[in-house]
Amino acid sequence: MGIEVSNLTKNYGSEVVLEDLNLNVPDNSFTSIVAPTGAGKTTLLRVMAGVEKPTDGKVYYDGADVTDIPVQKRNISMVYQQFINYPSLTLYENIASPLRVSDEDLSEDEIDSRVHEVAELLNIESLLDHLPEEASGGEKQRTAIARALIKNPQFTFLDEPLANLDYKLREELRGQFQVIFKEEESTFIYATPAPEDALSMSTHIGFLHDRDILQFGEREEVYYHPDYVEVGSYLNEPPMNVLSAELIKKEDNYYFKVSDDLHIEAFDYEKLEPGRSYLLGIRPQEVEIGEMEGGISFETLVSFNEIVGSTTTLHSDHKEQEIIIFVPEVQRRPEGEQLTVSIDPQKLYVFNEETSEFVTQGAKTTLGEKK
Amino acid sequence: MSKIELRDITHVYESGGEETVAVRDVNLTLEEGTSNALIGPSGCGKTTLLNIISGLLTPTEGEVLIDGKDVTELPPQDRDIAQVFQFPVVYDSMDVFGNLAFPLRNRNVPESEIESRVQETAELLGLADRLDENPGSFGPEWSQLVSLGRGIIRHDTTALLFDEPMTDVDPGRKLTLRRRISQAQRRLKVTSLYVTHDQHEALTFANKAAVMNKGRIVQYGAPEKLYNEPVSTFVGNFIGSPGMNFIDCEFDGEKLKIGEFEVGSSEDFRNKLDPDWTGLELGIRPNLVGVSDEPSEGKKIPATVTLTEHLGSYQIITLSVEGLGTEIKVELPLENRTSEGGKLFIGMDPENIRLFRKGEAVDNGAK
Repeated sequence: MGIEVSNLTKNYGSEVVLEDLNLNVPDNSFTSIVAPTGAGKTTLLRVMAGVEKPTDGKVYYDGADVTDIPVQKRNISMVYQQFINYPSLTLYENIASPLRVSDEDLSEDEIDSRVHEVAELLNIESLLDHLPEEASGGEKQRTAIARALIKNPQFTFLDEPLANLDYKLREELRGQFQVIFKEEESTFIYATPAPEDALSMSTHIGFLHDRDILQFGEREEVYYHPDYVEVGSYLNEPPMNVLSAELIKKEDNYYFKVSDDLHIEAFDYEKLEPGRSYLLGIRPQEVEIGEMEGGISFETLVSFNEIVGSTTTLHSDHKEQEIIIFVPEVQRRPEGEQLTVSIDPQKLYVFNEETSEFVTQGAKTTLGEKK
Repeated sequence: MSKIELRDITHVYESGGEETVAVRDVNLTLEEGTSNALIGPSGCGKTTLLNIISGLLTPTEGEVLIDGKDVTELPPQDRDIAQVFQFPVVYDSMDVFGNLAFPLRNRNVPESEIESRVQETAELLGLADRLDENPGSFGPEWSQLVSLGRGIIRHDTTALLFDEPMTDVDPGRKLTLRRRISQAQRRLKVTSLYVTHDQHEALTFANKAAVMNKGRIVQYGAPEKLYNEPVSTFVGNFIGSPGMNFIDCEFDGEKLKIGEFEVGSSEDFRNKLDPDWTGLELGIRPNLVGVSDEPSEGKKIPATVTLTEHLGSYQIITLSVEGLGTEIKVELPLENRTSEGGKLFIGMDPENIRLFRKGEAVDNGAK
């Protein structure tokens, strides 16, 4: 149950935006569709919601084909990046408006109690008699979200609703979205380019790439077991380091050669082919400064450091390959400093360089081995 | 490369007979060759201030000085200030070379000099391999580098202003753009001002950042100063992601208490605090809250996890403590497998606590 998208293609003129895309959004999930700007997230949401028709393919709600059912006849809501409100109506009337035009014919008391309920959930109860122009950007967007939720839609589509907000407000609303999701019985489909938005809020993540969903799954599964290097790299903040390495076989030993100075003993080598190039993924927070027991140490040259509050993001180069190191403390390192860093081979992800597909990974996380 | 001074700047917008004060009594000096940031929430007045510096707006009151010369009435084109806007501006009728050369050709700089200046600028920004490409097909991060290149290629640029230049750039690409912009600034030593609502960008770009709220500059200082010693709860919250935790507390002359729990106290507190004071709040950064699975020395306050947020390389957990009105946010590595509803014990080291009275920092002498 939930939403099923089957063999979806969407063209705008000669431009193919989505191609033969398949996706199952589980009922009662908070599903994030993650991709860089321009990848087609908005188009996918609009087709799922019924605002646009697919060029080819079907959309099913709870197993029923809704491809040709217009958006007004569907039990859904949408929240957009731009804060859309009726300027001449108070926030109260903005929120109440979907109930006033619905066929349900609710009494004023019923409308009133529902308006207060959602307004309370979004912390705008004290502003209900204000006009939108008197509200801040964050309050306008909260109003739009409240209006989207008031009908108890089965599916709520949120298209980058935090994009136009200050980082502080985003931070606040990210936490609140989780609370709202728990309170409301609606499936959320949330489009965002920001990995931290997807990781912090969702139960499920779909990564959109090259007109198709490259990977879909439960949040932890997608984070800890990326099927492609693009997924692993994108869904970390800062992005995962990706090092190119050749697999070398010397007598009975197999190792990855990243550079003349950096050889990493290979694991799972029955899945690997000597002479072939692989991409090794290592998260910036897994690169440690100094030696590490059981780790592999190597030298890298600091090119830049970014200190933000209590954390440091160090940019460095190891023989032309960039390595980002995330340190949960303040580390002031001058540009040009030669630094010894270590990685635990158990934390490595191995991808096929040609196809970018996942091959193997060091540690099996607590989620257990993948398939 | 110049020194820029703002003296007693106030700016009032008028519309329909109503007056709105956007900027109030701002004094700010950007020393020659330094990188500065202006940070604050939407509507705090930072864009107005930027426009006053660039010359797009004439302030209602006050003066703008470039190297001591009053330029308040001078139009933008006579200030020689370069600006990088929110959305990149590139000319897609010419290649990257042509874009970079444009400001020089406009000034009739000889072609031989243009050639070397373009090369120099392109190398600085990592554009050397792309000089013959058309920037019309570039993503926003490369387009911004071209915009920036056009701004810094002239040697008589007095200052470089950035207005939220990352708005259109994808998260994964911001990292590289941040580095390129900062490195270019550091090498050229152009007096710069970077306007943003994002603390990450402000703190990594600037030697000194000014925090604005409601038209005023509330604190101007080095990034670590803003983070470690915020002058008010506003700054403590705005700088840091998530911001500082603030918890109502009481001081009885001996002990510092939140609700019924005693938190560590130090001699400093006893010297600086008056037991008669009300409206006292304790501030502590999310990474400095001590956490333990079992009650232990210094970590005795029982707390329940109400929310966990995975932020891409670490997590933030929100805790509620019985009898306390506020929730407490704590930063933890991803390995800590906490789940909602879980119980923890927390504590706060006096060294890590800052105190605020009615929203203003009490100088408590702690670090």
